[in-house]
Amino acid sequence: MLSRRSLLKLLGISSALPLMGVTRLAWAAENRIIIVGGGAAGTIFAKYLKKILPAAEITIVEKNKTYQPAFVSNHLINGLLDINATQYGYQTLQKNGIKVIHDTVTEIDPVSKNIALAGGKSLPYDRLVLAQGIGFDNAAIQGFDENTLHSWTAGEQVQQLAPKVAGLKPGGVVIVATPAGSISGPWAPFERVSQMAAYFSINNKKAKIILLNGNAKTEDLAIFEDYWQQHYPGMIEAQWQTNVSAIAGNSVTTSAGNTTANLLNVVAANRAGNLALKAGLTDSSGWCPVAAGTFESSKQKGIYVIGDAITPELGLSKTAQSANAQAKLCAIAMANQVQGKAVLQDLPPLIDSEYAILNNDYAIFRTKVFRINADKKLTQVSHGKSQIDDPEKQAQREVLYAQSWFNNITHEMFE
Amino acid sequence: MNKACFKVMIILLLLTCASTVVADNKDLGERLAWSCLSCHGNAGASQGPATPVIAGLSYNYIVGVMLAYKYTDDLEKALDVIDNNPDLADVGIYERFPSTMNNVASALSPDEIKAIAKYFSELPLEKLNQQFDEKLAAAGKKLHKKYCDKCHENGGASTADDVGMLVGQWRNYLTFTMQDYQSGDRGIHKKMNTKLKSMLDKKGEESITQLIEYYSSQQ
Ligand SMILES: Cc1cc2nc3c(=O)[nH]c(=O)nc-3n(C[C@H](O)[C@H](O)[C@H](O)COP(=O)(O)OP(=O)(O)OC[C@H]3O[C@@H](n4cnc5c(N)ncnc54)[C@H](O)[C@@H]3O)c2cc1C
Ligand code: HEC
Ligand code: HEC
Repeated sequence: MLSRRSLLKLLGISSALPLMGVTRLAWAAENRIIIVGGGAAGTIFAKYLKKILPAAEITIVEKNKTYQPAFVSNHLINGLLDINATQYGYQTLQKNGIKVIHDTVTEIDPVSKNIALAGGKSLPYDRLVLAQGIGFDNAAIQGFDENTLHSWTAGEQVQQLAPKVAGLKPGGVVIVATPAGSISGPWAPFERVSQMAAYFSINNKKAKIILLNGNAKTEDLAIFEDYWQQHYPGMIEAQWQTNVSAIAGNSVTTSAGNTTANLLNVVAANRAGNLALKAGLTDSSGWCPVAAGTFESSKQKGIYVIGDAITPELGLSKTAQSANAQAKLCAIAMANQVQGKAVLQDLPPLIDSEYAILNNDYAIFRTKVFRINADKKLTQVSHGKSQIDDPEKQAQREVLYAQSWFNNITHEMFE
Repeated sequence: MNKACFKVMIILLLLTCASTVVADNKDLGERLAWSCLSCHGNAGASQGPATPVIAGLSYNYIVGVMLAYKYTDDLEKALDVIDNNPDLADVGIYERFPSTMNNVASALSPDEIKAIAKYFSELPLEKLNQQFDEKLAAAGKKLHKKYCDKCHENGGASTADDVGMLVGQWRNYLTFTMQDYQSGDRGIHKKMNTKLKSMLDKKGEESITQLIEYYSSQQ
């Protein structure tokens, strides 16, 4: 009689190893996966790929020892969050078998499949996942450089805005300038202004906020403007489709001329990082085109891009929630491919959603849910958002739901 | 190797494949469930302060809630799903106050909802460390025994009989839920409504606070 043991012998496989184990081990030896950036997308990708393929050799290269998420920067302004409670380390990921190297990736060579690190080393990969978030188009604003207070990317800058807002002289003026085009945290400019206004309404009643926003006003934004008019009449002046072309000292230049303030918070146009540009991963929009579902780069085989750096053409927003969902799809699709399954099998919905907390008792949400359809296209299947005339209790609840989201998504990334 | 032997081998290989197909179904539930975790926490054990813990809710309860979210504009459709699925005969459908869950559930098919419900219902209930007031909790304990324990057994710690979750749930979520029951924004089990009304008549508004303190006190 043919037993399972003799079958394995016939196949030339030692019966000491379970069948799955063999393919996984063989695969691990020739598949080194490197993730550039341990943020909203990178951590989640690593965690879930490891869950499906425990033998995979997964390395995150992250320049910072602690992750300070850009998506907390607004919540520090009026004390919704405390900076000490919002810094995260990579120990749990490491304990779970993911290698974490703290260094800056300076170059990706898609031909030799190597990355170069600022520390001098070079690392070979078989598949590379780029999850480095946004970069800035510095050239778009004369005088914009790494020292400009933007508080728009993960790291040190996150905690630098709140103390400056608190230190504004009585009756001082703040300019918040956010660029045209697709940006990280689509609602973040308006949430930021709301949090500043909430803070000033108690601590600096005569302060003024000027919002210079590069994009046109959309329907969503009526909720913000309505709230501002009701609660802080005269404090906020919003200018739409207004782009800053230069900054110098405490003044900004727009097509309307120069404006001076006591505090400048200027964000240059967002795009994929220089690393992606140099590696030829971007198109003329400055973002990385990818295939829906797998998130494999349309420009370079073997490189995957997830999170803020991907093209807005897929219809996904640049949020941590979207980055988190993209990372899961990418990990499952990659594992499917390795395991010889249909690549787009068992993909969960991609839930792209964003909260904005306007004040301690008022928050709003918007959600779009996408699925991969039979044509392998990402298709929006449902959507919803807060309305201006929602019952009061709903807006109050959304504050606690937004805070729950924050606690749960960071916990999911780092625990 | 002779032909017969080869055939046996193919059959054995097919059997191995068949068992991985079954495993894949379990994978499907888990992978769909991953899309919930950024809001509901690792393994459905929300860190709070308000988005509910969903690990350990019963299968029928989760299916019922998800169908109610999905078909919020026409609950008849949820009932149709139940009629067409004999295995869902015990599922109850109750209207919910609108939330982003409507968008989430709309994106899932009834079969996917079942796979997800199976996954979360098999996860352990986690205990929560919530602050509570001992005096109010003691009063709540008595109220619970009198008005609620018949269905929410074991001091509200049981999720059996598809009654949702009271112990191990975030107090903010329980507060919202009780508000919705009182305002009519959430559909309510008939007999529960009778008990709730009679409690409110006799003991007043503060009875709700006392109950929530009691549920939060069990850690
Ligand atoms: C003010 C503000 C508020 C926001 N609010 C929300 C919100 O409420 N909800 C929401 O969902 N989203 C919000 N967002 C958006 C959210 O922050 C981003 O969408 C999300 O962080 C993108 O994830 P990512 O993984 O692509 O990038 P990140 O999370 O930024 O991670 C990128 C990582 O890569 C590292 N890195 C970069 N370059 C290199 C390199 N060369 N070598 C090594 N490491 C490198 C960085 O240090 C960083 O840790 C907000 C954004 C801003 C600016
Ligand atoms: C964008 C955030 C978000 C996502 C993603 C999300 N939920 Fe929810 N969920 C909520 C919020 C907020 C509530 C509480 C509001 C309410 O009661 O409707 C909730 C409530 C629930 C409840 C009700 C719990 C009870 O005791 O009645 C269930 C069940 C649930 N969600 C299941 C899921 C499942 C399953 C998924 C994944 C397919 C999911 N949720 C994804 C935010 C989310
Ligand atoms: C006759 C049975 C019965 C009694 C008595 C009863 N309940 Fe319920 N309860 C239910 C059922 C059934 C559900 C689930 C309804 C659903 O699917 O939405 C439920 C749901 C709930 C929920 C929502 C749980 C969740 O996860 O969202 C709360 C809160 C609750 N009950 C509180 C109470 C309280 C407090 C009392 C006592 C005053 C009480 N119930 C008495 C049957 C009962």
